[in-house]
Amino acid sequence: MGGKRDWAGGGLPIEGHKAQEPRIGSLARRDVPTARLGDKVGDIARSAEGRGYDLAVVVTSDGVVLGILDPEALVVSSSAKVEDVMRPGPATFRPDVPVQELLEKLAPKHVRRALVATPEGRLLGVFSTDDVAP
Amino acid sequence: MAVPRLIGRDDVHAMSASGVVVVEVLPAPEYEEEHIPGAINIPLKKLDGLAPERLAPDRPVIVYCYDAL
Repeated sequence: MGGKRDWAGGGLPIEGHKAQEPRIGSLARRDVPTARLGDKVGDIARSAEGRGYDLAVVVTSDGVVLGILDPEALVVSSSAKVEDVMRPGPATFRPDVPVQELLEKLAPKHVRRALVATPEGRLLGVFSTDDVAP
Repeated sequence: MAVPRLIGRDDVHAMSASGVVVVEVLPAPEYEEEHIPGAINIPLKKLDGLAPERLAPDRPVIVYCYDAL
């Protein structure tokens, strides 16, 4: 095991003073829609919309993040394959990143969502600035 | 000779729930900031002196630090 950073980065619980600090893992939405490379965009778009999402995360069978279908990609062509329209290699953040730290990273780029994943790249969920109390 | 086996955090999680002693060897202030639930703190510089009195010889021990080398 790679120390307590790896432990926390994997989304496992932590004790101590800093444990009280809000982390993005606790706010990440776990029900974000996922897709596989060979899926049809139209099928994923319908599924995402039905669940109240305008994006989907492309993952392997082990849940490792490969790419993301942004809102623009979901409306490209319903018959297109996911692998042809996805944005590969999106940035991911570990679940133990403090919420404030991520907010300060996202704000200058006007980004309001970030993928949360383990050190091995397995998707845990999506963090949204909408879920942070003002 | 026993061959070392690499274990991951999920292994440590399972083993810590089954009675294995988990020890953080970082200095006390760092341990107080955050540590694995249930882990005890024996700073590395004090390990030789404190281990005999704080660790039972018949219980397996997992030692961890901050990050991987």
